[in-house]
Amino acid sequence: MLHLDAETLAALADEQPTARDAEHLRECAVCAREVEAYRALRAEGARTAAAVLDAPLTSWATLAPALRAAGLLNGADATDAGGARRVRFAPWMRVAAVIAIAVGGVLTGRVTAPGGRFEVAASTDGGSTDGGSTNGTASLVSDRASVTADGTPISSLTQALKVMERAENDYRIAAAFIASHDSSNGGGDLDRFRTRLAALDKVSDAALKAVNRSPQDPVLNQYLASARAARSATLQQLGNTLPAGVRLASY
Amino acid sequence: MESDSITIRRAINGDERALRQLWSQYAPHIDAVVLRFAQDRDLAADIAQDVWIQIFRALPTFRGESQFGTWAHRIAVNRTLNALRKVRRLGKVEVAIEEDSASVTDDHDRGFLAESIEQAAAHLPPGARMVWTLHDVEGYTHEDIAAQLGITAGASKSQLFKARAKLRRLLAHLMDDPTPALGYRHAAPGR
Repeated sequence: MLHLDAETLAALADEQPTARDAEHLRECAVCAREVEAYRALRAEGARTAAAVLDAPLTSWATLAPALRAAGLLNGADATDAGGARRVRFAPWMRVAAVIAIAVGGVLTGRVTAPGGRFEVAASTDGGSTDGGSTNGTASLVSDRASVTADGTPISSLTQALKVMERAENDYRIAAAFIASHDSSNGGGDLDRFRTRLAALDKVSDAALKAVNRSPQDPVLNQYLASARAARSATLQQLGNTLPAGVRLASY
Repeated sequence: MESDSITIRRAINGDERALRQLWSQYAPHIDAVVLRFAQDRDLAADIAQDVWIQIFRALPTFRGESQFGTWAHRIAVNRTLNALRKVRRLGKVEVAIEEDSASVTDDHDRGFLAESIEQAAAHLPPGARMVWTLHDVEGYTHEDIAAQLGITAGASKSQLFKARAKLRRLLAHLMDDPTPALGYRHAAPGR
């Protein structure tokens, strides 16, 4: 008996046989088995589509800059020229840090402002912090931990994030107002600002090192963000204390 | 871990963590697709980077009608074929498709027995390997293949059947019952 040729058998893995080939396959067990082998081969090929590599050909270190150059990735390079990792904050971390700054700022202001002349409105709804003591402020934060400024309980992550965003905006407005209107530090009290800036630089450096070791730690990120924001606000205040016509170029 | 849809939404906005998560989750598969076509690892690495940029660029068009992996897979295949065409690898393939019948029929690997289908496929002539990969691995139709490679559907079929026949020979020792009574090694023509 003449068998079907190899390419015909290969075609029959997924094509209909002609009447003549079908008749042959009914009578020839060898060719029928061979067709089954080709069908198994085809199935094996399809399984190959799901293959994976042990290690990808690409690396994030090379892909990220290309994505950034293409405008597909936001933010600065996570690695600077020296190889040190820069810190990038998730939005919730930034907002959380601002809250920490707001609370900490109130306390700091109470402690450092001569005669307690800083009066910070923490709420846009007319509410004010009863910052007569650190205990009072801490209690306020604790009591309102799950309640919005208008008294509505926070019931979802989305709602919480919106509240935090609103608080961030409020804080920015308040910080800018304080920086531009604070006259309590007049009289050439530059040394105190310089001391504060030096301390904040040390705090920033220490926080940055800690964040580099534990990039996802929200508390460490809050400290870093707080220190940097406080440094920025202090610089603005320092600029306000300089004599007319003198500008702070750098620190 | 958050779902792909949430990650994709964040990735569309350029969130690095989301982009990196998608890459790390799917790169082992997508890069394997690229390597399957390119064969050369250095070339495949270059193409894979371009493929990922294209995947992320096209992300806003992903409608979720299929799995992200399936969608990205198809982009990887198309982008790789385009890249190979640019570096003229497909030009060679198209020529080979017309001329490599003899090389498929004449077995230059007479002593070679593949240990896997991918190892065997690496011994196919470029044109036959490309057609086999597109059809039997990726599921393209002969019409799709013809359009992609600039050949006729008939040429695609011809190359596919030649490729299968050669793969069958190279993998016979793994596929067949070794019992001589089955007569496989002597029965099927063209072996």
